[in-house]
Amino acid sequence: MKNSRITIGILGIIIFGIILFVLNLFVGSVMVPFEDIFKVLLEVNDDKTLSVIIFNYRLPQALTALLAGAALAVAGLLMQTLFRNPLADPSMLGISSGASLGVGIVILLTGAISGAAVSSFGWWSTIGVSLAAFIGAVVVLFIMLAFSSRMKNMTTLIIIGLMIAYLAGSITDILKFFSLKEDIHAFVIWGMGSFSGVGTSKMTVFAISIIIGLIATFFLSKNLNILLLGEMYAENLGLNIRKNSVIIILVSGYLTAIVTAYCGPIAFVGLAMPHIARFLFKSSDHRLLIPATMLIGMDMTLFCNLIARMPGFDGNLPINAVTAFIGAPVVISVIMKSKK
Amino acid sequence: MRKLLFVCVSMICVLVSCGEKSNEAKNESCTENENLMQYTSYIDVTHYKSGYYVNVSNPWNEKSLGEYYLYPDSLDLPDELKNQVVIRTPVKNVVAYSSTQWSVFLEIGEISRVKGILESDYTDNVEIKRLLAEKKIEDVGIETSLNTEIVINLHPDVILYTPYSTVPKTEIGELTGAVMFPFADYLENHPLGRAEWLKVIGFLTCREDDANQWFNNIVSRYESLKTLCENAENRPTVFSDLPFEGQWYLPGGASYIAQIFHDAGADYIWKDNNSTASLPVDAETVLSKARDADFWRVMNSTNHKFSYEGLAVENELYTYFKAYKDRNILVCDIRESGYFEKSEYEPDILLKDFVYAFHPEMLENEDYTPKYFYRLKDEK
Repeated sequence: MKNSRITIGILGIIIFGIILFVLNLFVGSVMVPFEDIFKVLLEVNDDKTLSVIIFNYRLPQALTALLAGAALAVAGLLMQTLFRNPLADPSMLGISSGASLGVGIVILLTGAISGAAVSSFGWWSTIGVSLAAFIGAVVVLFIMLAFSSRMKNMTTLIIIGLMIAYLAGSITDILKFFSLKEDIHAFVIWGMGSFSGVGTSKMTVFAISIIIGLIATFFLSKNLNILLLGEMYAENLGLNIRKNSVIIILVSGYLTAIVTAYCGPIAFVGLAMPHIARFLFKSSDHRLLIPATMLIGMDMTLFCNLIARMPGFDGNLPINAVTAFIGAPVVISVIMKSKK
Repeated sequence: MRKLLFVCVSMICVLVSCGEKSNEAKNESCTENENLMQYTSYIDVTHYKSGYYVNVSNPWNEKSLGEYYLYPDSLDLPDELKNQVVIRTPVKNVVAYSSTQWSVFLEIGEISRVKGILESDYTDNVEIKRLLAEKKIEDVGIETSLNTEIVINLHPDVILYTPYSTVPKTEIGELTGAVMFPFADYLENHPLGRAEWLKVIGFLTCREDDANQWFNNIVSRYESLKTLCENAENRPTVFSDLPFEGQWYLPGGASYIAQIFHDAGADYIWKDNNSTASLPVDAETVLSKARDADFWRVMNSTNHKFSYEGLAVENELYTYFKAYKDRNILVCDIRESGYFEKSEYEPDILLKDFVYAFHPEMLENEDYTPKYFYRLKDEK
């Protein structure tokens, strides 16, 4: 009985995801007439603008959304289990703030060094931005790893993560204060998040990096289940708590760093999706929760990407605005229902 | 329309005031109300006795940004101006927020009146670098955080600032006793309107004749190029800029760059849009509308030269544009060309750069080298 419920649930999420994926391809600012859909699919043709829009613009964007959604959601799940805190998410490790600082240094400081504002968005800046975000995120990740390997207490680690986030944030603020308004504008836009930065050219690297991280999480499910029993139990069962937490932080931080580097700091997905997964499947078994959270994350980001590019707008809404706008009511209703 | 209304209203005022005033004042006041600015939307200047009355407005609300009387220092101030905001001319100690301002002082040989500038790291101008090194000009910080103490120490009589919709600049004015004069040049949506602000510095330094001459030359060169292009048989299409994070920020159809495209005998793809601000447009919309555009204008703010290969690496979508395929991308290397400092007062040269790209046949008798926008060459 229970198994069939789970199967139906997972299947439902997958089907919903496929529908959303297809909608992502065919709905956007530029209308695709219904009768043209099959024509476009049948003949991939660079001379046709519609074909370019669908295969070279919307497809990579939908794939990015899907991968980023899965990665952030599962990273959030790992954090919540590790810290035994339902409010934990990857940003608690200071990784997003580290990435922001890295980007801040590139956008705001190189603006200062190279003279004119990077805000005219030269091609150089976009490549530099991903790299800077990644470096910033990885530096903070290693600092956190250094702390976590010396410390057993997870609460202390959360506090250290938050402090590092504040520290990075304040340095970013100082940089902003001394920057040109055009550069600040560029920085603010980056901070709003976007799934369109990857594109076809960088897709292979992005996809492989994310998939490696996602696969790694499956190997963690047993240890995560043991962690749920409490640290004492876990230790008695022969689990090396420190080593284990270092690995969890590494995987979760790695996923967050990659996504942030390519898409900007996308909030909320990591925090909220695990709750929806737990509620839907009424389970705390990570062998189920990990794939379920990934799938729900995918659906969520595909849905948000669809909303952000609703027909009728010529422009994209910022992804961060949409994730919280759509996600917050969902989470509230889920929590209200489960507490009844 | 606004201009026309203004002229009508001022004519009525003139008639009324001339009727009322005594014979003595009549001659003077009848020439007083002629607006000395032709192309600007946000500043009016009229004669007032031996000086000028200046009114700066803004696009955000009906309120004036400020009314100022410029009055020669050598004459006694008329009683009725004692309670007004008065700038005694020529100005002695100026703090200039923007490079577009000090570059005019430099051009007309009055740079010694400028004592403080902002963000000096961003200029490559040799003369300014020298004056900074000799401490004849001080760097007073950046716009978001002015070094107030240095500004006070310069004893400015006028601070030329850049007005924004929200930021009030009263504090520094009160501390220094200087008149805060809003320089709304960047808000103007006509290229000649922008350039005409150089006349304001002419008024402030009592060099109005030279400034007027300079501006009139710009106008005549601009207008003759424009007339040349009005008869162009084909009008190529053009669009602008590179996206950031998937979003294009396109110049509005009523912006000054759209006006230059039009005057250069081209059709801007978003010409029917009536916004003066930049438009956020997503990549697929730009692709669907501008894919077949003949030309693509791009600004390069980095120190690296653009190349077609580099652009393709940055975003594969670029390669689908006709302008990319035809190698018709027009680039401006902002820093190298001094675009921000100089182009505002060289709209005729900007225009000529585009005419040279859009209609090379019009300039075939000249050996013209573009100054700001050049066609990006294929390295292969």
